[in-house]
Formats: sequence, structure tokens, C-alpha cells
Amino acid sequence: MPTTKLTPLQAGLERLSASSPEWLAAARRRAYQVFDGLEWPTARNEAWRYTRLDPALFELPLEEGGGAELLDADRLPELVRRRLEESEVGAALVFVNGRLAHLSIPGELAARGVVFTSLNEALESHGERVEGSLYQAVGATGLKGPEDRLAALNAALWSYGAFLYVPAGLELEQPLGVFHYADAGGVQSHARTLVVLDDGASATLIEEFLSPPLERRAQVAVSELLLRPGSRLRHAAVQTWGSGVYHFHRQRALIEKDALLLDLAANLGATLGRTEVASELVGPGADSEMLGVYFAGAGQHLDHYTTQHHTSAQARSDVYYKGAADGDGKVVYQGLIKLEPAAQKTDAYQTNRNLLLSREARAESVPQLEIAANDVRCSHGSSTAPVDEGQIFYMQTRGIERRQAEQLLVAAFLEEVLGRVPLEKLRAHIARIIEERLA
Amino acid sequence: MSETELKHIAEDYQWGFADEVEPEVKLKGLTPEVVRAISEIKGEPGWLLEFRLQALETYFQKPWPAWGPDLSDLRRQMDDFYYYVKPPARENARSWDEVPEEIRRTYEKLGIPEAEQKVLAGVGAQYDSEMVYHSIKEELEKQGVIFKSIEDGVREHEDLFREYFSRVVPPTDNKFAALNSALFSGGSFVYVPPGVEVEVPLQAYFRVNTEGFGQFERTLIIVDEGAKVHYIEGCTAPIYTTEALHTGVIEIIVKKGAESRYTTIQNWPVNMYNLVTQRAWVEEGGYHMWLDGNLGSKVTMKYPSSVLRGPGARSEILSIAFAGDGQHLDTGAKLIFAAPDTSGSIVSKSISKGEGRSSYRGLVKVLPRADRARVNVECDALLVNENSKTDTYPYMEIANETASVGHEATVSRLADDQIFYLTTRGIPEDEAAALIVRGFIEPVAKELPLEFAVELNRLIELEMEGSVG
Repeated sequence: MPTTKLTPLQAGLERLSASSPEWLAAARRRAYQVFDGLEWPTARNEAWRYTRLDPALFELPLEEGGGAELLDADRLPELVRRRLEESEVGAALVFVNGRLAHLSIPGELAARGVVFTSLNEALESHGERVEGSLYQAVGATGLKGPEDRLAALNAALWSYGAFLYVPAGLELEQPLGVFHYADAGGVQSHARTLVVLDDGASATLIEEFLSPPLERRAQVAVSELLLRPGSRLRHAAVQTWGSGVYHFHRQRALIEKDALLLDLAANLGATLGRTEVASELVGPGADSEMLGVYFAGAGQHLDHYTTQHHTSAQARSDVYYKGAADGDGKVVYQGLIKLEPAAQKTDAYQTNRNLLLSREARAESVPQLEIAANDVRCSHGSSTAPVDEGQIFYMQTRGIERRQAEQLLVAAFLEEVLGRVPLEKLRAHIARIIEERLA
Repeated sequence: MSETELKHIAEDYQWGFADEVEPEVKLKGLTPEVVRAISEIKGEPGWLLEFRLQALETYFQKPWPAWGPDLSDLRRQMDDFYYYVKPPARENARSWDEVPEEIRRTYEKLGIPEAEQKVLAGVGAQYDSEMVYHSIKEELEKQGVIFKSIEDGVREHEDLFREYFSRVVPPTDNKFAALNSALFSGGSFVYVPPGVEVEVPLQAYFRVNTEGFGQFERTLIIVDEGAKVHYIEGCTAPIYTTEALHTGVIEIIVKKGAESRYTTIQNWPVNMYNLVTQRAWVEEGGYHMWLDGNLGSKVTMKYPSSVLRGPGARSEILSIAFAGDGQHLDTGAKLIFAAPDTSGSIVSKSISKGEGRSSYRGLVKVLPRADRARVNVECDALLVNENSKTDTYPYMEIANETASVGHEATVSRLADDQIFYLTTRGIPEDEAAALIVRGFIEPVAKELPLEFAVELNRLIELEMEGSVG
């Protein structure tokens, strides 16, 4: 082997591979090769038409991550401690700057066969289960274009994340929480979440991403959701990073026969947010509800890409994304319903609605259909409109200030989506953040 | 394409006959020499030759589109086309008697001279690269309406031509606009003076006869303040085993308070690549309608656009696409809102039959200055058979918070229960299917002049024969 100097990313790969089991080290190297062979996406890639990716973000040093430094809940940084207290989760993993800082998991979960721990820990305690599932939904294969380069980088260099396994037939009542907290800027961080619901299992998982304002932090997160036949997962990814964070999240769910995914993506924070949510409907009776809410204020750019990929007949999917932009905030929605020739008897719907609240606010919306089966019901709709002046006027005549009236209209606008999510505390949290942002 | 496939297609396509016409000039290949030769044959001014040569450079510099239908077959053949074919006819005859008999017979079969008598204000007929006939009713000419070939436009109205030519669609707009700018030949130059209303349509008819040929017509229409015009184009060609290329550029200027309509009924055979750029500028209070009917061609990429440049300008774009076996019709519309109180709508109806694929690709762009712009887009796709395909790619870019933008699309299949219902009422299955398709496109078809609506219905009946059951 020639003794050339390793780039920081290559050095990271070597370090992470050295501490990985052999199969994982090999997978990391394969993914790195894919990464190395691809270009960064530019505006010429339709999927990145409206969002500029700054390659310099991926020259930032890698966050060390991995490992654990466990703290009591009351010693956690205040922001995340408060979320933990206010949230409805019955079990939680808290990561601080990529290290497991806290875990509160009722003993009965483990007793019933549930595995809920950091991915690194799971590699040691449940190695075979992880090996059989990791990279199934987002792996090195199938990553072909510049738009996949970040996913390949994450597959090679992820340093921390969560693992959830729910055994067959087990229904978990209480939501589980994964908190990604950071207070270190100037780094790039790669997280990975793997969720496996066995046949007929049921669970709710909330992932939160939060921080104070930071100096330039690149956060790449991948969530793999494997829903075995008849299982049911409610999943929420709530992104409330402080300014200075560049957030790239790719989520992909494999939904088998009669399984149900109920997903919510809430994007409220970060300087730049790029969220890709994909559902693969691979068995008849599979069902995917994908909800999204977002609010981009001054200096924010929030981009969303949803994919409903029907490879099986008789499945159903529904996307409903709504958001608002204020100040010079910019919101982007792109989405694709793709029906393969086998996907007869499909129901697939896609709706995007945007609200522009100021002169400099911008919205781009590209809802797309690619249909190769004929016995289907598909539709999509998109609208972008101002707040209704008639409604504002009405409220003003009732003595409500304009700004407050706008606040109420935005809340009502987003409530149409949030109203479908029966997680009261989470909804209140999201509503409060939007209220603060509009104040 | 196999011989049997071709035979099948030729049976369905009634305009697939070819004439025994020996061209005067045939120029092959994509080179500056060919461009110079075209310009010289036309006796053009030096600035136009410069323009063409520059455009050819632009064509070579621009990459092939990385999206949309597969153009790799076309790309391989680009050096083999005839880029200019001059028919053995005097230019721009003003009477059909002056058109050579074998060419005249073609237009008679297509029913053009008859329609001219009955329902048209003027007719232009292009055969391969040149307009062989151009005529307009005398009373319109007296009112100052100009309806000539693009070549006569340059020759006889150079100042007016030069003022507007290539401003709406510059060669740098896209690769095929550049190609057309380098090679254009034929097409119409239309000017309607202020306040003049041309009540019945002008029609241009494009016929390709030569095998392995590229047709590059160019049309420039100026509708002056308060004037009104409706321009219709139709196209057919013989069926050859080799592929052919049609790349037109249409530029329209609709001035203050003027009103214009541009209707295309495209029925090229399924060996044709139809890559066309059509754009209108609409000034204050003006109105423009695109009615775009795409039935033929192997591949079509065509997105009629309106740029609403003046306050209160309006535009409607109506689109029908009917894709059968071997066809990929990538059609759509663009509306650019560049002034306050502008409004527009897009209605697209597509039908995919057999293994046909129709795609809607559209852009709605609201610029920051377009206060209170309003637009609504409606795309409906009908799938006839199990292997039929459809796509929808609408882009909406909104940079004004007072704008209101809506888009709705649906995909459905030709419903068995509807056909069943009609058959129980004694209507044969084929007719029932055609009836449903006609009902589906009715919102667009009703905007066509009666004769064209009748023709469209007839074509749909032909297309639907044997498609179900």
C-alpha cells in the first residue's frame, strides 16, 4: 500500500473501522468508496435545484462521537433537560455532541425483549440483530447520484445513534425518545438511527434535534425504519436546532405487508435544513402517512423531499406537508409519488401548502408523479397563498393586533397537519415554538 | 422500429404517404458551411448570417438536456440529417395554381385549400424547408395586416423584424432554440396593426416530405396595441423507417390591450422528434392563449410559455396530449408572472394508451414585483391500458407573498364501470371508450374552432379503435 497522507475523512474512516466489527468495517469502506466516486450535488440535480450545498461543511473536523459519558438527568444541559421533563416519552436516550449522556429506560422494556440503546452498544450486545438490519433501508447499494453522496458519507462515517428493536406482537404504549443535543460547533457530526419492528409489533419513537445557536455545525442524520409485516410505527423527527446548524436528514422506511407508518417531520430550527423522507411500500396493505410542518424565519432555508415509492400492489400512502416562511426565510418542498408497474390498486396522495408572511419570504413547491400502473387513485395538490386579509381584518375589528392575528392564522394553518398527531405534549411544544418565532 | 410495428403504425396514420418530389437543394450535416449556404440561398443580410453562426456555436456549447425523454437515439443521428431541403417550387406562391401539382395535391389531400376558402383568413404552407404558399385575404392586407413567410419578413420589413426577432426566445434559451436559430427556414412573419381585429384564424401548415430531414421553421407574431389575432398550425409527414426532427421556435409579442391565440394540432408520425420552443410576451392588459394539442411524434418536448410583463396581463394555456405505443410526449406549460395583477391558468389533459407515456412538465414562477398574481393549474391524466404511463412534474417558484398559486393533479384510469354502463345502453365498447376520452378532453377541446374540434374528435375515435376490451 502506498504511504500517502490520509485526508481527515479517510483518517476518520480508519479510526471508525478499527473500532467496528469486521462486517461493519467492510460496509463502511464500501460506502466510503461510493462517496469518493460521487460528486457533490449542485443545482443541476433536480433534487437539489433550490438548495445550495456548501462542500466546505464537509471539510470541518469530524466530531469524535461514540462512547458514553453517563450523567444523571439533572446534570444534563438545561435545554435538553427541560425537553426531557416536558416530553411524553417513557424511555429516553440523550446524546450530547455525539456521545451517549443519559439513558432512562424502564427495566420492564428489556424484560419484554425490547432493545432500546445506542447503536454502538447494540453492536456489542445484539450484534447479529444489528448486522441483519443495518444498511437495509439506506445502505451503500442503490446510492448512485450526487444526491446520494451525503447518505454514502454517513454510511461510512456515522459515529453514534440509536437502536430500537421491538419483538413480534409486542405493543408499546409509551413513546420512546431519542434526543440529539449539541453545544459544540465547528464540526461535522454523523448520526444514525435504526428501528426494527418485528411482525405485529407497535411503537412510537420521537427523535428530537436541539441546540443553542452554534458556530457552523454540520449534522448529518440517517434514520432507517424497518417495519415487518403487520407492525405499526409512529415516528416523529423534530428539528429545533439553533442557528448555525446545517441539518441533513435522510429517512427511509421499508414498509412490509399490512404494516403502518405514521410519520411526522417538523422542521423549525437550523440555518439550513434538508429533510428527505422516503417510504417504500413493499407489501400489499402497507400504509404510510407522512406529515410535515415547517416554519422558516429570517436567515433560514428549509428544504423537504418526500418519496412515496410503491413497488407492491394494494398499498396506500399520503403526504401532507404544510409550512410558512417569514422574514427572508425560504421554504422548499419537493415530492415524488412513484408507482412501479406492479403497483396496481394503489391509493397515493400528496399535498403541499405554503404560507408566505413577508415581502422577502420565498416558497418553491414541486409535487411530482411518476405512474406506471393504471388501476390506481393518485392525486396531488399544491398551493401557496398569502394570509387571508379578510380574516385578519375580522380579528382586527375584534381588537386583536395584526401580528397576533397572523399568529393565530399560522397556528390554525399548521393545526390541520398537527391535529392528526395524537401526541399532545409534542404538539404543544411545536405550537409554542412557532408562537415564539412569530412574536 | 420493426417492419411490422411500422406497418401497423402506417395503417393507423392516414397522412403517411410520400410524394415523388425531387428537391432542388439538399444540405446534410451540422456545420458552419451548411449555415452559410442556407443564408446565401436566402440572400440574407450580413447580421443575420452572423446571428446564425453565433447560434450554431451556442448549440455546440450547450449540453444535452439531463432530464425528460431519452434523446440518445436522436443524438447519434445528428450528423446524418438533411438540415435544409429546398422543394422545386417558387417561393411563396400567392395562388395554389402556382404551386407544382404534386405538392399541391398533398395539400389538397390535407384539405388546406378547401379550409382556406371556408374558414380561414390566410394560409401559409411549408413543404420541407420552404414556404411554398402564403396568402391572406385582401381586406386584411388593406388594413395593414402582414402575413408572410419569415424570409419575406426579413426582406420586406427588416426594421420591424429586427426589432423583435430573437428577443422573446434568444438562441441561448436552450439547446434546440440555438439549433433553430442557426438553421431556421420557413415559418411565418405576422404583424397586426393597432386596433385591427382579425376575426377568423390564420393557418400555417407544415409538411415534411424528405426522409431523414430536420425542419426548423421560425415564426414571429407581433400583435400591436388593441389588436386581435388567432394563428393555427398543423403538421404531418410521411412515415419513414428513419427518424426525423422538427425544431420550431415561435415568438409572440402581445402588446398593450391586445389579444392573441396560438393553436397547434401536432400530428407528426411516430418517427418524429418534435422539440419546440414557444413563448409569448404579454404587455399591460393583454391576453394570450396557447392551445397545444399533441397527438403525434415519437418524442415531443414542448412547453408553451407566457411571460406576463405588463400589469393586468393574462394568459391561459390549454394542453392535450395523447400518447400511444412508442410515444413519449413530454409536454406542459410555463407561466412567468413579472408584473402586478397578472393572472393565468393552465389546464392539461393527457391520455396514455397502450405503452404510451405522457408527462406534464410545468413551471409557475412569480417574481417579487408581481403583486397579487393569481394562477391555477389543473392536470388530469387518463390511463387506458395496464402498461400506460404518466408523469407530472410541476415546478412552482413563488417570490411574492401576495400571490396566490394553486395546483391540482389527478390520475385515473379509463373506468370499466363507465364503459360497461355505456355498453348496456347499446353503445359498442370502442365508441364508449372514445366517448369517455372526448368527455375527458372537452374542457380544452371546446376552445378549438369547430372544424378543428371535429377533426380532433375524429382522430380520437381512430386512436381508440381496438384499445379496450
